[in-house]
Amino acid sequence: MTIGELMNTCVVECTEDTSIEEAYELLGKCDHRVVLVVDSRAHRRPIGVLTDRSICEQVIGRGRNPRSLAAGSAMETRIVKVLENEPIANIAIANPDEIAAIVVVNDRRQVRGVVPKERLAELGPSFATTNSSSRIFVNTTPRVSPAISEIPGFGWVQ
Amino acid sequence: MKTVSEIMTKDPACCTADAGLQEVAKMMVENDCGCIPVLKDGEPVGTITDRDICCRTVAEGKNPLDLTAADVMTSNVVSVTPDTTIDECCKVMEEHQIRRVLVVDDSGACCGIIAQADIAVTAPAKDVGEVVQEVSRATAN
Repeated sequence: MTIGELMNTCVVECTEDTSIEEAYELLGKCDHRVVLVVDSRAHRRPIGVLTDRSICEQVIGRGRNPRSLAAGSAMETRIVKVLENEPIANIAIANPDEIAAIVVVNDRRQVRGVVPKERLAELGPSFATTNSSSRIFVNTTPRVSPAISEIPGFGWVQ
Repeated sequence: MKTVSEIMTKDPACCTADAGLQEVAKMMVENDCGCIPVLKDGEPVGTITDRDICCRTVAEGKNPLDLTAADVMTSNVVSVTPDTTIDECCKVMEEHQIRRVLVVDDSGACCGIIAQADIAVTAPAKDVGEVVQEVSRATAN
């Protein structure tokens, strides 16, 4: 089985600047409740995912009111990009528990689907094999949400 | 036959009904979980998930910092006992269309929580696939 056969093909996108409220409306459009955050409408390069968990973790857990913030402040940036025709058995990720989602792309790096964190367990023990023959683009650097003082032009309601 | 006591998360992080949502969100981060049982006098009276928090605050334009667990929790508690088999637990999840179930002991106290993911890593793929399919189908509908 390839990752392309397992992925959710319903992909909704927003940019970093999309308000959390607007992005949250998109969250309900797919069963897997993952919104792909892209760098821009033009390039559509995935830079993170927005989920219920990421909003709780990045915003509410830090004492912020989501009403005044954008998707970029609430997204999880630890995503892994995998080619759609890659066999699942060949995919090796060192710490799958730290991944928020797998973004499935084609040969032209266009997004084809998403595998959310909740479904990673379905991939089974073979998901964490040591076979490193697959081509994986990994962004596992945790993004530190900017301090309130660094958010230009935003006021927030306490 | 395996029982839930063998694969559940024991003594999960819990909160009280008057806990603020910021505190609950922090607990989810610290414990890397998406569901926190809400207790009253040691017994579960509800559950609160990250989705509950977001649906009832962000979606409704409310400030989560002003609300407590009681304001957003799901009060209908579905539970099993530690000696419930995995198969029975799967049926409970399918019947109620949920991905997590509380485990309560003889005294009614919450002693664990079992999630779909816990079953996925221990049960045969066929069983896992059936539960995921049934819960997801209802969610889609």
